[in-house]
Amino acid sequence: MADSAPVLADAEARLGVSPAALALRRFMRNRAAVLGLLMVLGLALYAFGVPMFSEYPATNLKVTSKLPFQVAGYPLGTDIAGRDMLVYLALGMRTSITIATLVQLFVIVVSLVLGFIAGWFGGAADFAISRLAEVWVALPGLLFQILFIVVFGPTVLNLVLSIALLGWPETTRIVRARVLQVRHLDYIDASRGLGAPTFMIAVKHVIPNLLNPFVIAISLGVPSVILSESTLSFLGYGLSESQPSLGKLVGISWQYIQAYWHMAVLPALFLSLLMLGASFFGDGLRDALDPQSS
Amino acid sequence: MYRKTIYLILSGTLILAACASPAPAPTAIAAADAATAAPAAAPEATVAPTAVPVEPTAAPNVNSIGKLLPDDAAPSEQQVLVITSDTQAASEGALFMDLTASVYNRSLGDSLFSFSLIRLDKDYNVIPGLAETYTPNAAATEWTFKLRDDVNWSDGTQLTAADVIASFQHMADPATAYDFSWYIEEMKIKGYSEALKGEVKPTEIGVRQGATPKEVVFELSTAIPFLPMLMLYSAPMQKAALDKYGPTYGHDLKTTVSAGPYMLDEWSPTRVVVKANPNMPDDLKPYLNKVIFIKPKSELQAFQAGEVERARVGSGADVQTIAADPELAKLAAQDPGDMRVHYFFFDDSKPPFNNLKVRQAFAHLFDREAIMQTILPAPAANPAYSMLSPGFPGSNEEALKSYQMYDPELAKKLFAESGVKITSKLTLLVRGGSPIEEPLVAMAGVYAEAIKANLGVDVEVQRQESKVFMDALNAEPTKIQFGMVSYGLDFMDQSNMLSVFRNDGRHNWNNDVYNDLINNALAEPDKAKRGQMYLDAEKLLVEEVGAVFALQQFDVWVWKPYISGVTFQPGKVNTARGIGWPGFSSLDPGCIDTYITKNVADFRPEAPQ
Amino acid sequence: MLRYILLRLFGLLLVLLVVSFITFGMLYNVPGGPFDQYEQPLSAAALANVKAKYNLDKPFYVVWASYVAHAARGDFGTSYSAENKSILEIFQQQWGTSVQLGLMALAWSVPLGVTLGVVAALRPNSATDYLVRFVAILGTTVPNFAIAVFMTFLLSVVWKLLPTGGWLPIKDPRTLVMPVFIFGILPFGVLVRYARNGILEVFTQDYMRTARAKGVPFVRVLFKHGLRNVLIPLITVLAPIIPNALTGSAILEKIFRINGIGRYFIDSIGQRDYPMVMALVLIVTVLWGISYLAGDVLYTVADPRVRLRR
Repeated sequence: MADSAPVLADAEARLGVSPAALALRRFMRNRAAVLGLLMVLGLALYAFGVPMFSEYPATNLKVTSKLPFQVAGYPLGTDIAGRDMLVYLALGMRTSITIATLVQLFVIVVSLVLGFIAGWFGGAADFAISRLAEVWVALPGLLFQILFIVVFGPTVLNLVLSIALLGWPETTRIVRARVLQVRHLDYIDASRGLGAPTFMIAVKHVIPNLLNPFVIAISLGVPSVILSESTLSFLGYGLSESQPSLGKLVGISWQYIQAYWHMAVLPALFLSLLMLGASFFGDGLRDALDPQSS
Repeated sequence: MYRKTIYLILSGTLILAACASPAPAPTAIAAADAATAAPAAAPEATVAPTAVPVEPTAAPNVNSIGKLLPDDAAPSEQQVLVITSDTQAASEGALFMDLTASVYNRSLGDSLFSFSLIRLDKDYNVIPGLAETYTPNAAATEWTFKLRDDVNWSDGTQLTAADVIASFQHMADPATAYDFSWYIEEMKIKGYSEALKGEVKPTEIGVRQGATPKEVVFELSTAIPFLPMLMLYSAPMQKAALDKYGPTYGHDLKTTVSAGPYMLDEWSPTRVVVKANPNMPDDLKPYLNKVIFIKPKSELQAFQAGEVERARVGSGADVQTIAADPELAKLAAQDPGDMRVHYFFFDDSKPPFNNLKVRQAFAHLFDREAIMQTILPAPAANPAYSMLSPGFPGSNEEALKSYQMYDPELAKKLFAESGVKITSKLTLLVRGGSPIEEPLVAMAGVYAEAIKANLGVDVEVQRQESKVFMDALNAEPTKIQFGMVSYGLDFMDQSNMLSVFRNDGRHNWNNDVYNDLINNALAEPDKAKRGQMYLDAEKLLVEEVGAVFALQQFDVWVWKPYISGVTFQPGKVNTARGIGWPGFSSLDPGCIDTYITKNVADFRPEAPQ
Repeated sequence: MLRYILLRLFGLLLVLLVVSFITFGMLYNVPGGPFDQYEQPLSAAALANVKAKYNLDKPFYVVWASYVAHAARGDFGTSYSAENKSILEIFQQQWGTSVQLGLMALAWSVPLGVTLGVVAALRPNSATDYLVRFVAILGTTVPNFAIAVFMTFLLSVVWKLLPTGGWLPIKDPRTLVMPVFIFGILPFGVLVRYARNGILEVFTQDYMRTARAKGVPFVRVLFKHGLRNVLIPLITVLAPIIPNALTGSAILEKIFRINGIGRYFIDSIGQRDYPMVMALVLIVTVLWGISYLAGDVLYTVADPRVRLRR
């Protein structure tokens, strides 16, 4: 698969259609992918828009003597502490999306650097990075994340780091493999022969070659980040209450399912929709960019 | 592990109540015959059941060890109770059956074995246990406990001072590494703390035999007027068994021995059965033939499924479940538990909380009534305005209410007067690990919101794992600027609850007047004077905002309707139906006088196996 | 082959050493120790006694070395929270439930996933295909706990058909329904996808078209070529699924109040029960390592074209 993609793209390019346009066309033809994109966009709009326009601040806590979902003026009711569920859920979604994006950014940078070093220079650097990746994968992930949060505290940044630090080996392997592949292509050898600095070679020739596998790995990785974050939150090692994530909201309120079902069901529903949307979109993107893979 | 890991002991102020009992007492503090502790049992106790020749139909209803059962009791073969472990400290598979062996690693069915030197009655008064009298010297620095002549070990050997002495030496031995040693240190026994450090031998601590082998003498390094109450945790291990088999002898049928109401019948890591001990004097014999202990993961659910006959309504969600089910709610009983109070505290050594007006402003912003209505409804909690909740000796809650009453206008005024500006965001840390953690965090969130709305100060609520939280709280200097934590009693005396705010306590609200009051009251022999000192101290604590007191947490239990006994009648402190603190153990009268009533036939055709 | 297996096992041993060192180092240095008390701290002297008793009064690498030396002899120590009870005894007690849950989940999800995947592939884009794929996507995408919330809400709260939790295989088999279903739905989804793609791929192969053109009965072609093509990648898919299923689920065990090893692991971290956490980490690592190794070895057996090399 990896070998044929550039060839195919090459062939299409000769037909006068750019690979990007082709990918876009393939993507738009995929109904599930478009639906996924719309779901993600819609939820993101809700997550970032609603808190801006709501008359209740995101963490407004107002205790009334009424049962949580009978308070007038709150379309989705309130939780036991009187927070407007409509706003609170948006806030949770915002946090989940933010964390997923930040983790992927972090993973990109780290695996680009490590993968490039390993693939380009080989030898001892390659050996060290590859063995480290092997051991790293064997580390007990959940324990690592929990202890990380316990030591450094439950902030967004620490949560991002605790998840991202476990995510680099896989993408680093992809980068390394691609670097190894393109390293000996004629044009790279040629530019090295012409005395271009290594860094420039990398930027000009290697990174564009990495674009497709990267976009795919990352779009497919988003749901797994959201899942990691939700799991941690669910087990009580997630973010604080004033900056909740969707996983946190489910984790807090599933126990109340008998008394106040909306508190448990709504965040679980929004989380599921977000995960489904992200995953449809990721699959569609992969199919569009790398049609051979499916 | 969380609650009731620490049992409490009776208040010194209540000792005198015990003296009011009718039996002749050689000294002012020596107490009455234990039979008075269980009035319902007393009349029957004199009946010799086997000696009465009557028709079979009229045969007296006696249990397996010949104790006459109350009139409304079910027949002897039904006198079996299945129960969840009383303390959450009890861990499956732990081998220790005696509190003097371990408190935090006890087996299921623990603490029903040997009685302690004293016991509690229904209203938490000290009454005699294994010791029939306890007499101090004039300075209250030396106490003599005289063991009952008629109490022997279940193997028939005599209970003597040597057993008590061996147990205390065991708890002092560094090799034991006794996990409840901080509590024994509170007794101020001569040489005990030094023995822990390895400076003196465990055999040299101030516990020795008195004039006869039935007398134990405790020598203290300072006067402790309420020592008998502290002796709630003094259930002796048998010296012979301890020497021969070590401190876990209790869990093995071949080596087990008891000087209490029950003895071992069956032991496995997940199920422990104890049976009535026939070798007790009649007033200390239990009604129940057997008690079966199991530890289901969800107690309430096990109760609904009929697996257990008493269960804890533990979590915030459990409370909501009870509230939603009227049938279940009828079986629920609230008891004050360890009188746990949840409160907010500050780092008083640094700005902004070194300013009294700032603290006072914060103290008027907690809307207890509203919060109790939705977040943590009754019977799980009550609003708290001070450290000693109603029912606790010396509680002064009504008089102290105004100091921390919810009053946003007053809060704003006080904050303005303080002249302090808080521009940075504050973090309110909440200790995790409580079964009602979720409601507590929500409650802290409401408080944070009120602070922001009224004072314009940003507060972020963050829960923290309890180990990390306690580590940060106890650090010198403390790492927590603004936090929420709780404290439950270890023994029922003001000195216990109020010691938390001493200068050497876990918070840095260091008030010298308060500190002196607490320290001087400890050895004050005059009861009235002592009570007044604590009243003054607590008022200072509330007024100067050592903490913002939030709520008193209750224990809620569900009991099957066919269980009865003296402890099921409302008492002075525990007004609920059913055994409350200190639980179904030899420390509580319930261990003797709980029985299965006749209506059991409607619920279970035969006794559980 | 034997040489390869031995090499891999040796590698696993090295990984175990490194993992145990890192894990223990992290655990030991996190704030809060196993014997800190919830309310009142022990006096310094008493705490020192406790630490000495459990050999915790030394630097962490010394404690680690002694731990490894004992573990190598099969002695994993005793749990701090259930003193006098060896780790292995606790495993017997706690792991049994998790293994039951895992096996039951695999028992329905593996055969059903493969079968439905094949069925869906035989009628691509039919209603059956869409339905099967939809369930599979739900299973692989929606988190377990969200599914648990939905099912509990509908089946327990609204319709009152099933209990909200517990694990009573004999006394009340209804308690098994939700956890077993939810725990199996992820492997189910993965297997449907693999089986379906495998069969679809077979149909596009030349030999398949040839065989069908020659009039070989459809079912025989399917069994002779199709299933073989599906079963070989299945080994790779199952290599992570099986250890995952057997090591319990902290989340499902928490939601459904099941007394299993996944939940015990999380509790042990909270209690800083070092021997317990370490033993669990090591055993899980071994299980994963062996499972991947077994997958690779089986792969050569199933497909002789594959050669093992390091």
